[in-house]
Amino acid sequence: MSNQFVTKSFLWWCVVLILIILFAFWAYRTGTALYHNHQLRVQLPTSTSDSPYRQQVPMEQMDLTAYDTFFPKNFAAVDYPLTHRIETPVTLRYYSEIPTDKTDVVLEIAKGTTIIAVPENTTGSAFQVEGYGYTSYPTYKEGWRYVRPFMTTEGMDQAHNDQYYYVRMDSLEAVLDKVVEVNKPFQAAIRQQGGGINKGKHAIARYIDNALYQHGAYLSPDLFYRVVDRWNTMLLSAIGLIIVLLLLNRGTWIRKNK
Amino acid sequence: MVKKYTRYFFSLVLVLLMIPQIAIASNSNRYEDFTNTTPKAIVEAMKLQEPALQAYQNLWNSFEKDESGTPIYPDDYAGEYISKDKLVIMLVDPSQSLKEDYIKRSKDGEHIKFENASYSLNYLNSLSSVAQQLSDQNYRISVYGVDRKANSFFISIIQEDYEKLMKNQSLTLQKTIENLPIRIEPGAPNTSTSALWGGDRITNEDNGAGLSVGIGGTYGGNNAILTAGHSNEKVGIFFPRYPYIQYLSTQTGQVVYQRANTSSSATGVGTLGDFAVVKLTGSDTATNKVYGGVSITGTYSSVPVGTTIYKYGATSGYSSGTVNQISLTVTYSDGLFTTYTVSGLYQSSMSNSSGTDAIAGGDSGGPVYMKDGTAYKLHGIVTARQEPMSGYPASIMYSTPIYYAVDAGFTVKTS
Repeated sequence: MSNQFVTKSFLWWCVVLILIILFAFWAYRTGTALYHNHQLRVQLPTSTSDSPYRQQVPMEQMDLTAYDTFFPKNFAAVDYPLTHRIETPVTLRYYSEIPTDKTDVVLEIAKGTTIIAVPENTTGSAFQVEGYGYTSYPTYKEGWRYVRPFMTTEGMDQAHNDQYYYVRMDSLEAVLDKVVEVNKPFQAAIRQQGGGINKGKHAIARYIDNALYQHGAYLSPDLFYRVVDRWNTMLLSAIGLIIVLLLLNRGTWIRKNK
Repeated sequence: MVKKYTRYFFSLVLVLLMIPQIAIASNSNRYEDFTNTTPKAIVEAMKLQEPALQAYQNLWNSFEKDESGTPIYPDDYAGEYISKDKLVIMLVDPSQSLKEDYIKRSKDGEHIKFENASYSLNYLNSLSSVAQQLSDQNYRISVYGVDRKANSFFISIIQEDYEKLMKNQSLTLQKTIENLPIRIEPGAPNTSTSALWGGDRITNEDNGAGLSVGIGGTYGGNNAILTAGHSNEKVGIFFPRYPYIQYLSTQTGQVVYQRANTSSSATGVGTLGDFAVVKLTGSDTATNKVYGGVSITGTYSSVPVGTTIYKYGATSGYSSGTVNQISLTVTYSDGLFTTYTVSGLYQSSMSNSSGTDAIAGGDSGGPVYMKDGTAYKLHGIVTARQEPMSGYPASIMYSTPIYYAVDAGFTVKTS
């Protein structure tokens, strides 16, 4: 048994092992997402009343107070040292309708503007107010949210803040990322749940979606996990690349393994 | 045999001699004059320093002040200290005219000395940003500031974190401070020596949650305080432990017992009440005092609907009201993920004289008490509040009766 043979054989098994690990990782992520999505569908509680969402009432015509009873009214009397104001890490663009190519931005908050990200002087939860900032209502289209915009520390009139707009979920999640980053109580609360920081942020951004789901009012498209996401695409690409390389060098492996 | 009895005899004599001393010490009065006990050397040193201190007072008065009364130092000023009968003023590159200016400011040429310094006080104070950076990286700093005599800035980090810092960031740190007059040294955590009163603000060191002290007492023979159970859950995944509690930014103890049910289907003792017992590990002491000069002399756990009660919370302060409902099971949220479902709670309508929120975030754990004749008795501690209607002050309070904590082994201090 030559050294060259041992090295080639060893390398071959290493590549195969990596391939198996990558495939297992991809299968786990895809399987988990598919299972989560399936469970969401089958476990949706049945509601006695037909919610406006189920009746497909347009967001602009929807009476959002209909869901008030879904949210807690009693709160532990705890005080959290929160950083309420942050500079938005992305430009926030708000629309009066889910935009097509020609829809204009109604309100734009430029990257770097100081916004009141965590609502101040709340009478309920210290972390969020339904319908404000990152605590948005789901729409009928995945990735688009319906919410009152973040207040800026300068120049925004109250009328703008009482008005609901459409905004991309990923821009709200970018703000939430920063909110969690600068606020220890958020991090502590997420850690207490034991599911990792990303899972925690996912849940905070979909707070209303979860409440609607638990009451059987609506299965938001944003609650589903993405089966084809960036990580899965990268994993699949890596798997494909390794297989192609193995096949192209098939002759080499076979010859050396004789 | 004789030797043995002699030892016993002398021990007994020693103990007997200690008794009057202990009696004198325990009789100390808050208004007692201690000046006659000051050592002679100290008295003489104080006398010697008097003119230098007067010169310092004049110098201080000569500085402009900001809105908070903090002096705005000139850029050539580097600090001062007292040496025997002289006030040593440190200046950066002092010229003769500059020295004369400072003599004029201190109105004393005789008790002033000058020392050349490399860094101005303004510059040294600006180095506090380095301490802030370390603190942001979760290194626990016991003290930092300008060492005036040494004309440098020092940061004292508690031993455990100091070692961590030296291990993890030794090179980066050296690079950051190599050209700066900064000294980083290991230090010990500061301990406070306060008497904790019901209504004092305490903080969960691990999640930052602000709560109130309920009352002092004992738990398992140790000094302890009672507070709310919510937000005081165990932390850590692999080695879970109860959180540490701070008073005035200094660690005062650790939670040793906690109860606040989070399971909606749970039943039994674990669902009754929302409280945590904090064992005092520093030198703070537990008392039976409540803000407003109230001394708790007993407990009155079970009260009927209509009873008038008082509460004190660290945020909203004092309020009074009436018990509306008893033995309720209440569901309340921490505002984010955790929902508590707790049984055995009382509901009361509270108000204060200013018409503002009678209960607010930070009041959790605060004492709820009542008057029984001339005595004040503890009924329980603050648990939660109901979100008020828009434009109205928060008034509905939920509280945990003291019985559950007593049943779990906490003894309320009543004297």
